[in-house]
Amino acid sequence: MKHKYLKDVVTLKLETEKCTGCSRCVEVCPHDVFVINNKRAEIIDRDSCIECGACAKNCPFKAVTVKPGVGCASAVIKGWLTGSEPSCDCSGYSGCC
Amino acid sequence: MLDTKGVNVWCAAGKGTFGTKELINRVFKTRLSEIVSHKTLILPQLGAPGISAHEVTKNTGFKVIYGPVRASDIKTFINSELKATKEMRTVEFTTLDRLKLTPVEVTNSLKLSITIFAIMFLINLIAFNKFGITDFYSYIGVLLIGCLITPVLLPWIPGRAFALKGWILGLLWAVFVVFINGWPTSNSFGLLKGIGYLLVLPSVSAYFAMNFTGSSTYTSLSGVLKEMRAVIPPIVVTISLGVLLLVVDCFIKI
Repeated sequence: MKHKYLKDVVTLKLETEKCTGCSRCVEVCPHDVFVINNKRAEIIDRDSCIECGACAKNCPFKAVTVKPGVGCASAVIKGWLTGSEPSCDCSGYSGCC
Repeated sequence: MLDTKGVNVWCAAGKGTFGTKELINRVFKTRLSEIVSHKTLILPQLGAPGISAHEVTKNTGFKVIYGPVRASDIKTFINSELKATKEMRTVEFTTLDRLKLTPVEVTNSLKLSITIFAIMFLINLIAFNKFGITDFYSYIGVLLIGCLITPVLLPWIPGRAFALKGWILGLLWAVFVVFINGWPTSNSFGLLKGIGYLLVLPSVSAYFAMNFTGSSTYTSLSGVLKEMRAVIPPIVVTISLGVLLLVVDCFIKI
């Protein structure tokens, strides 16, 4: 069963005109968000994006952008309390991220 | 080898211990190009959030290929000429995966739980109606619902927000608890206590369930922020109000 989180919320953007169809984004995405269609990347499942940032970081042409972050409520709370960005720093906590 | 200090590669990539700079440094430090004749680095796919493959290539001359998500697929990956199938590239979150993570959730809630019991104990020193076994198992119930049952049943519970899923199961539990205690007809379980339970228990469960977003493999930061902005105010209001009713109930002589 495929898990579904909130709709229309992620910061993922694709500028198709910059894309060369190298398919790096398809290779790194852990949630099948991209496909290559007519030699260009296409977002087919935006709501499955978890904003891990792999696609943006690995796109040589900066066609993909996303504000990366960890989808972790306790990290967000910790960030609010310490006035910092939410980060995945619960060491030894294999489930985090 | 990049030492991530025992942290899994996905988290390490997110934190930067498994990163572009670290990888480039390691390639130079180990004089990798003198040791191996090929010019290819195979990295774990979940390291990709920390690595910029084209920058690694630009700086070291090594081409980067991302392997599969799971180590158990490495053999198949190598045998199929370094091609990973869609299944190998996809992160799952099976019932077993979720079950394995629940002990961490329960452990993480221990500090909060001990504080709650300590406060109840202190109130008991001066209260007319003391907190007792019902309060104890009600709380243990929501703890297990929020930290264990909700995570395990995750895809089958209605709603998308984790807190909502936890709240729904918590509400069922709260209704069950007040019902088996004869509420609202029985005098042993007053009106204040009944309403207090119905307000507090589902929200506590919602809070615990919300914390499971960190263990899940399919939540985004934007999504979690949206969920938290929506659910934290009602959680705070219902818990405060409910706790107030429960405490007031302790000091009213029936």
